[in-house]
Amino acid sequence: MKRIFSKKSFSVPVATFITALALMSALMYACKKPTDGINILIDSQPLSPAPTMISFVNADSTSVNQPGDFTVNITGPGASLVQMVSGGTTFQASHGMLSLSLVKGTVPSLANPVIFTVTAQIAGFAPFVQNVVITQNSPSLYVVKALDYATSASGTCLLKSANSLSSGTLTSATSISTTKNASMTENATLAFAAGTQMQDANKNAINAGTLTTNVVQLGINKNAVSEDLPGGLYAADALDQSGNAISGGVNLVPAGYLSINMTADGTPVKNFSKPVNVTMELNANTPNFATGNKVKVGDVIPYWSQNDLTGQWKYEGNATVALDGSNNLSVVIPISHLSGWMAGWFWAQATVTGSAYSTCGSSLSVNIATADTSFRGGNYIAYLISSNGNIFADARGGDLHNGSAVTFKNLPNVSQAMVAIYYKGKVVVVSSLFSTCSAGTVNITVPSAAVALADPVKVSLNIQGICTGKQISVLPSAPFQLYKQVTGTQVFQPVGVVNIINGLASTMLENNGTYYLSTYYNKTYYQTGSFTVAKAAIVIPPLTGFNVNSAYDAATNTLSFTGTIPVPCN
Amino acid sequence: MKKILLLITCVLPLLTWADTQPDSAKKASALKAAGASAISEAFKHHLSMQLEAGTQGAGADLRYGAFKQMSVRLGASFIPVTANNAFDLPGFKSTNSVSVNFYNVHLLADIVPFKGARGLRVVLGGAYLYKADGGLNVIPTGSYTYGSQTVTGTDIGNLDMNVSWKGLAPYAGLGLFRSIPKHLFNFNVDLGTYYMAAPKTTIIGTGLLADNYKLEPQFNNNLKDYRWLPVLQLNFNFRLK
Repeated sequence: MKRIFSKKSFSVPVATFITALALMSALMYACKKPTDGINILIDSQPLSPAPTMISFVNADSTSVNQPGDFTVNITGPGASLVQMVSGGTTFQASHGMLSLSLVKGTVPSLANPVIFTVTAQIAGFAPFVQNVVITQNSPSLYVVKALDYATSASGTCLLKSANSLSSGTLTSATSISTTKNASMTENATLAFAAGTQMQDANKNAINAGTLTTNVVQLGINKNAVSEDLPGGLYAADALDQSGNAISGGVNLVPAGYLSINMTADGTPVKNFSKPVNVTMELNANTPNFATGNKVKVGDVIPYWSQNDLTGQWKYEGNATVALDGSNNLSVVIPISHLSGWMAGWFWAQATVTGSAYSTCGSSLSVNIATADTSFRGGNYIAYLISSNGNIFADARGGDLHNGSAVTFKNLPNVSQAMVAIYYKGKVVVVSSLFSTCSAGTVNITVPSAAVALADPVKVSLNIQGICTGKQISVLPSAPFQLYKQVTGTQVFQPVGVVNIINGLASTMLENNGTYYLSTYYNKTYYQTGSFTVAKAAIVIPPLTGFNVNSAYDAATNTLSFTGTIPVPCN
Repeated sequence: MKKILLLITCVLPLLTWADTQPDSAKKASALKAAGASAISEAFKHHLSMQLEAGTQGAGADLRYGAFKQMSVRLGASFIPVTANNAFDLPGFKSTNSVSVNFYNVHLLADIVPFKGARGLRVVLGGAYLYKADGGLNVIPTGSYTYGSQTVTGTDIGNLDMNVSWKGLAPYAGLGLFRSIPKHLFNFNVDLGTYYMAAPKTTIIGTGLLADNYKLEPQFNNNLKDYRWLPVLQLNFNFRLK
């Protein structure tokens, strides 16, 4: 470059200038990288609308024999719209949990519900069946009370027997009965005629020497038959006596139920060469849904069979109430094949012979307020109950909170009905009486005392799925099962579900209670270590890659959990 | 955005060393000590117009020689810059565009601190940045597999990350070469920095990216030290009076 300036006059300003330039460059590079610590957040809720937890628990809550990992079948009209909550149609339950959702883009509504049936066969238990009806894009919980052939739960009784066969045939008339107990005061007797041949599913004779029978019977005590009826009260794909589908399905109002499992030298017995008469005793306090009075001799009750594999109900016939040999009210049901059998009334949208009521086409909106407006708990169930005590419809709600709502549609004309809200297995509020066809809306408020914990701590959860090696985090949307330790034992029992939506949820836990959270997500079982709730930050031991830190805010009495789980992302 | 600023910071000094020098016949004397009378002649009541280009954009100033050793200038400058695919987000297939917009009006005083070095000026003042923002738009491409689900870029949505420094910003710097031409035309150079208002960030996502607003606190924290807007600017001056 041409020498223009004198060195002396030029050097001072230029040196100053260059020094300033260097300082500024250093200043710029000293700044933190703008993307440090930033992981792009991906919502998963739109990919998994209407997350639905099917929780399989032993109907005997004290039993250590709990359903574990097993394959599940999804059938019914909406089956093609169902997926595992993290995608895929390999339906697998883990630790008794099955996390489902609808497929991306599905918009369920009251007018266009998604209806499907969940079934599974587990040795030692009556077949698992749960009908699911999804009418809105919100989390739902179905608790399947697994009926254990070995131990009876409250409101149930059992039959376990072994009888000799000759080439698969009972050579003499044989009667076997369930055994009554304090919580189930009615029994059932299966009467085989001499010469009854055991047959398999294809009606082929089974050549065997021993008939092994297991039966679980449910009655109206403890509402067992209404709350634990396999499949639930609504049967979307029920068949009439001619085997034709009943349009709109039916709502069952059961009086008693039997799950009958028989094997002949290990081969499942599904048919008999001669009808087997099942005498099912009825509780004398059973209200007759058709008449509104207590059931009495001469009343007619429909009876139904249930396909073990699909959960489908078939209206088989009508039985007349009579007195049995012990002078107890009972019905006799002649069965020719094995499955679940139920005696109970029904109502249907369509006109069906034998229906206790026809519908008036009315809908009922149930708006739920909570006296503690800040309350937010887990899922609830709304039951419609006649003034005589028949539970004749149910609806599953999402998280119970101020503003919860469910809708029943196409109701039967029950002039004196009420709504009961069940939360964590107990009734928290019952409405006053109303007419199903004219009420339209029922507003109901859950009192604080009914849901309040003795010493509650609010818990907020913020869970992220970390995509390893990527600056991406997925915000999971899935129900997480909450377990609580039974005081004085090492046993944990499921006490509800925390519905995580796009990584967030809130709930309330009992101070000093010991809990853990778990879920089955992306084909992986995640579980936190057990933790005891305190009004301070607590340590939650990491387990199965589910790491959780906590912080406590005394001003709001809130324990905040921030957790991560590893998830596969490609 | 930092890359863009640094690029400009690095390139502009080269321009100052080009052959085009201020008042070509007079440039040596412009840097020499010229005595009090020369200073008086150089600044007082003189008026010039300045066209400028640099890291704060392109603009124009009107300069007035207020005192013997100080002139003031009032002007505005603008910089709209857009760059496509300027960076990668590891593991996130996407196209992206970065935009930077700095629009300001400024009032600066050029002070000659040393009589013996009139070509060196201390510049103090400030600006109102009525538009001062950077934006990053990320558009996911391709398909992604999460668990057993495959989603497309369209399913995922878009992401806009914006930062704004709008507000008053004091300025301090140095100037090289005379502020007002002795004759009709010269050029000079400014090197300094604005200290901008604390940045405010917003993140807006659509579709599956809707929850990214939760990243704003982290984004804010990362950018909290990004308050210095360096100015390296080449000025072309036309003497009006």
